[in-house]
Amino acid sequence: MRRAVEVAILAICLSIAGAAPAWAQLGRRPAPPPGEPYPQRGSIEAGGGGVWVQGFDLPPRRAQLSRSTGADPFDLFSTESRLDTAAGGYARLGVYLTRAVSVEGGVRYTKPTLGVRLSGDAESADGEEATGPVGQYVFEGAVLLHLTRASFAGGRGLPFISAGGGHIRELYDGNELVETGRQFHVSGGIKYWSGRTRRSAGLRAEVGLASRERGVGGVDDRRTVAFAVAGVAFTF
Amino acid sequence: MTRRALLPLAAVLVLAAAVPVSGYLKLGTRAGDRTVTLRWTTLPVRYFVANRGTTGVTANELEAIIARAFATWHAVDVAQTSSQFAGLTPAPPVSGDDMTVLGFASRPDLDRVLGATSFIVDVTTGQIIESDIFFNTAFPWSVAAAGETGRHDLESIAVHEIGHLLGLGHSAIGETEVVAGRRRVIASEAVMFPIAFAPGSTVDRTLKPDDIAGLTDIYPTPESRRSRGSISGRVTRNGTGVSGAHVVAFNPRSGALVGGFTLNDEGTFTIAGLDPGPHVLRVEPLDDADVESFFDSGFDVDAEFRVGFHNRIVVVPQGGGTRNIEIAVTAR
Repeated sequence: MRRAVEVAILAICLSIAGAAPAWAQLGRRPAPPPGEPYPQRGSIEAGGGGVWVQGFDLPPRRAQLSRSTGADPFDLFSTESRLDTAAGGYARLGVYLTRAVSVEGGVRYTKPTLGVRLSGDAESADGEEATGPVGQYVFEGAVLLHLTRASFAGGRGLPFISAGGGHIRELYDGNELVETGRQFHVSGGIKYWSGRTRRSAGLRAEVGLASRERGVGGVDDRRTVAFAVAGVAFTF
Repeated sequence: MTRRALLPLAAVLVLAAAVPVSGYLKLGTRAGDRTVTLRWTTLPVRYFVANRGTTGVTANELEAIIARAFATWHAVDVAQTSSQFAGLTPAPPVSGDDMTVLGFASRPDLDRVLGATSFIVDVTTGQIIESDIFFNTAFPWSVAAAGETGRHDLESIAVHEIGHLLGLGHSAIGETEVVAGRRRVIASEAVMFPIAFAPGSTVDRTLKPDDIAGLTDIYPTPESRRSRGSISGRVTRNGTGVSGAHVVAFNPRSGALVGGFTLNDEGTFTIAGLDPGPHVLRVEPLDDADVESFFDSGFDVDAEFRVGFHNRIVVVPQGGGTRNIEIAVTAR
């Protein structure tokens, strides 16, 4: 009797798998085979949380005056600029192309401080640091590869790696001046789902490196900064 | 009927009698209770060159040097100026003959003046009607391509004087020292700095950001109106305005220095023609040149404060201005 039930279940599963393409066309998603939890192909994942972005130095610059022909310039003062480390938030929306691969898009917002340290004044002005906040948006897209074979905790813990790119839009505080740039990133992290059902909640943590150019720095050379995100995610 | 007034403006080593309008570079004149900017409203500027050379410089060489000096200013693509050579003339470079003449003049009495620019202007509008420049033959001149030891580079001085002719005043972006009772320039970052480099230097053939910002402010193109911006605010000490303070905007991205002055007892200043982006502001007392190089003799310059920096980054928007910047300085 028990064997007969198992055969019946297997038959149903095979039937579902074979019918999946037709169901997808009808806008319905197949139930996963036993042992293969959500998210599955077609699952939607939405999430948000906090983000931390490492600061970086901008090129130092001297305020210089010209001397007579051929002579070295006169240093009036020196500047060292830095865009500070900052924390902020993010929101993302993704879709699973397969159980292992998903694509997502989203926005990150941080508000780092741009600081310019002034020193070495020729007329002995006290050293000072001029500062100002910068609102920083990164509109980004990424491809995620979930390492299903490395899942743990009964499949609820799922490592992933990601690569993507984005558009940087930086706005000086109280000012309409916008600086733009772009960045590419690679990252890795873990998702931990509360369940394996179609509608699940989970936690997501991720660290990575972003290579950015232009933006507030205003120069073409790339800078690579570390970032980390942590938040919640929902699938449906 | 046009009201005319003669505004003498000496240059390289001497002083302006016109009124600085916008702090750093523009010249102006009083029209009732307001100040109007001096500028040519009809372009091209039609000029003559005096048909007289001096030791080492022929009239034709002078004509070529002046054409190059005008071209240096006209090459500023964010400003619109132009000029037209009208011919050689026996007329001297003096005001009141309805001709803009540039040429040599013997002025041994002005033993510290390499050259000078004078104007006839409409004092109600600031329109420049005539302007004349003389180069003092009391000094040795050179037109050598690489400069010549012991002789002043005519092109460098011509670029400076033509800056005045176009309406620019003196800039204070420079450092000087007093040697044997005379002030000597150590370094400067503006062709319009009032004190010339030592003979032989050709540095002032090339415009600096401060010069370009000033010209752009007076003769903006439609594009520069959209793309460039300004900073305005006050310099205060214990809450009271400081007059005659020299404010310099430094762009840490480009390294450009553009200066301005506070022009009244409220300590207000405006620096225009700036590239958009973050700037830091440095304030210093006006102590690197004679005050008369910049202001009317009656203007009260407060130099009793320490050099300092503003503690906030000031961001210049495109086609607009950042206002209400208050920079607090401390007494010496």
